[in-house]
Amino acid sequence: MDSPRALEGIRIVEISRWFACGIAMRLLAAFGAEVIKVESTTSVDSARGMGGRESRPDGKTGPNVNGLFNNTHSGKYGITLDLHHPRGVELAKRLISRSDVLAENFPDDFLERMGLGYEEVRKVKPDLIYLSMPITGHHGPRRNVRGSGYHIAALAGLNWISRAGDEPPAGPSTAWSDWTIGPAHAAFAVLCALRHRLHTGQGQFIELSQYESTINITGAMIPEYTARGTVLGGHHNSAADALQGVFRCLGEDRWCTIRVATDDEWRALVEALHAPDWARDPAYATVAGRNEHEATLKNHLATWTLAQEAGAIVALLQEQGVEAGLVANIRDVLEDPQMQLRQHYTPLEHPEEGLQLYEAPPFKLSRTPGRIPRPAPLLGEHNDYVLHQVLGLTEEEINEYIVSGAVA
Amino acid sequence: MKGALEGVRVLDLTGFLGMYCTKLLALAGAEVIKVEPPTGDPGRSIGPFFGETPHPNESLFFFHFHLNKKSITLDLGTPEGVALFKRLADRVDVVVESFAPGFLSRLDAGYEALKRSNPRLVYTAITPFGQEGPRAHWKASDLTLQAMGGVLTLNGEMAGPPVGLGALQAYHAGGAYAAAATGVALYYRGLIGEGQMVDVSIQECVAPGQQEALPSYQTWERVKTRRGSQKASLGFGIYPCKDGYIFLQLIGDVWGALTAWLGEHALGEELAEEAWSDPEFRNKPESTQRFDVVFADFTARFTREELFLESLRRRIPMAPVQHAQDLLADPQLQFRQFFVPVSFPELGQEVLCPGPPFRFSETPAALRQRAPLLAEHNGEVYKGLLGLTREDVAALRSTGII
Repeated sequence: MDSPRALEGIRIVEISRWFACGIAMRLLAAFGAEVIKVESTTSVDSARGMGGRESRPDGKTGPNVNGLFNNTHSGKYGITLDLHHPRGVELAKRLISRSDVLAENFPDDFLERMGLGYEEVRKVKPDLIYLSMPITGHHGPRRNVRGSGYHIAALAGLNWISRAGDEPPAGPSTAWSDWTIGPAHAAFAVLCALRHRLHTGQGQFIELSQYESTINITGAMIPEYTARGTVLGGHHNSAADALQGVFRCLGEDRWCTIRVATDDEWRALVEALHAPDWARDPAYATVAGRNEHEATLKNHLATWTLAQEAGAIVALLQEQGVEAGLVANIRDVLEDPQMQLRQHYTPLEHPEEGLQLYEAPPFKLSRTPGRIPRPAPLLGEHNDYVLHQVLGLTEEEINEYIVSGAVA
Repeated sequence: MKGALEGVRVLDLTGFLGMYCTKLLALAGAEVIKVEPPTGDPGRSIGPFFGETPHPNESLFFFHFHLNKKSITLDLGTPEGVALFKRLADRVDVVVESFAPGFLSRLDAGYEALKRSNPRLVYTAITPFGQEGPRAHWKASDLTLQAMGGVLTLNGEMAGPPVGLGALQAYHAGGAYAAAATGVALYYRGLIGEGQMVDVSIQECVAPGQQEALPSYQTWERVKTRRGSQKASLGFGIYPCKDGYIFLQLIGDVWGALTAWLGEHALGEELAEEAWSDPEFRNKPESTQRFDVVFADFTARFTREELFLESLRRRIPMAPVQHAQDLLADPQLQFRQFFVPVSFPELGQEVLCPGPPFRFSETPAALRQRAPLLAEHNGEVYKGLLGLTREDVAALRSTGII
């Protein structure tokens, strides 16, 4: 028998673009929520087209073969509704009235302008949980900021604190908060609201400003600034309480991390290196000594790592009880035996893309495990399912909606 | 109004790996009891401090991550301490821990032991690589987890070393996903009445940072790496201006608006030429470089504020690169009263802290209380929750168990 699914029976209407909202709802889909993603043929999720200018080696084209979209929306259903059409909005409301959660991240209060704001839709579903994820918020002098996770990183201070030392900010080549922590914040907020509804019957509106939520992951820099006037600067790959660094290894763009926090770890490191002369200096045996001679020690370590394979260094040091890590690229992560054992990347047959790996939830639940129930929806793939089974419309009604252009 | 997790009691045995998880639970209204070794959580020794000299109650780092929480002390190195922990675990809804896999089980205080007397318990374990597997016992702190989750390689200059994302991003990712995972388990518990074990791997929580790298590798066998200051495509990157830096990414059909803006300052005449209206032409490396020269000349003439306000008016997606000082001066955040003053009456001080990452209409998340002093709630918890007498607590204190 299949394991129980924690969110079985919860239906979510997702009217989103790009990633933050989509990745959050993917997580809830993996634990059993029925997530229905709303697009239309005239307004497809732009993520379906990303990279679309460049032809694929397999020659496939069209809105259904974008790996980025398919990874973001795995496990969901898809329907095409034209929200610029009054009858499309009417149909969306009927769908919302039979759902538990509405999740959106459009700019400029798009949903509200289309008649799908919280006050409007709660008339048809009083205990609805409505998650809205604007960039800066629905109110305020700069409420209309448009952009991506990269803009949010610049605004929230993440670029400033992630630059190399005192170098000018360059920005990470990852939309970090958009792809990673933002979705976790959003999923957590919806789960809190679902629990509250379970116990009280009350729905609510959740505003998740991605700017504000990203400031939450800049650590203590705000209280530190207000108390001490210190502005947190760039990152040096080092630590105050340990000998820590990123070291170049043998091969092209191969690197590893090494961190020695305790005297035991230092002794283990020296042993792993076969106690070279430089490492026997008693000055290095204490934290204070290692801090004082940090630059010298890092130079010695760098000379050693440069002649070794990164993977071998990491295995050797970890075996000796010294923290070390491979600076993994996507290939390394896919080949990582730990990730493989935990099936973090799950193979699924997508009807147009074929067999691909998709991300599973980053945690395991013993009683109600997560799994990806199906690949991402093709554009409009579940129109029939939603109109017939979810909404229970007659053939006649469905035809009317189609002819009117509302389902398109 | 009450928080969404009002009535949920959490026993928090985490250190750095879980401090953000339990902070989120506390912001959402849970009663979080942090269990510290009698010497205090290691976070208490991280500077800067409220005052000039280090003090376990005055770390701003600890303060930030432990708002709304309570503190009790307990020595898990003693059998009496373990016994107290198990009694506490019978009276809570959630245990969150971040010990090495198997540590609490060896004390007969892991999930299997606790659920025997508290089957409704949600037990969240946060570890670098998960509870089992070939890497489960490896050591890893934030930078190593950024490395092995695949995002460290995405930050820094192409020619130079990978650079860690600032402010412990692997721990933040692990904490945020652990909170979401706990939320799933709490919902199910509310529905069915059963608890369960939640096994969070921080390495996996970091991995979504490769969102673009995964399909790019699967489709084109391309291994994504860091670009540093090299532009990802035309106009996608950071440009210097009078007082700092501004980020530009051309999303949507904004090329006309952008060249019109440049044109008003007699710049970028060539960009208005026919050839440039073709996105394929624009994305050639030569074009991108030519654009960069023009655009950097443009941004250098203005401040971040001038550029940002004008870009908002023209609907061109730009954003200033801000730091702590800028954030506190941001009229948007001020309007929304995002930063919340939290007072530390014992020091006669007050600091501003970021407000919660989400705003609930009916169950507001709130910063209610400064971080706890070490052992501040020993009396309240051991007497109130466990029913010990004043004498019991004094004896536990004098023997160093709490």
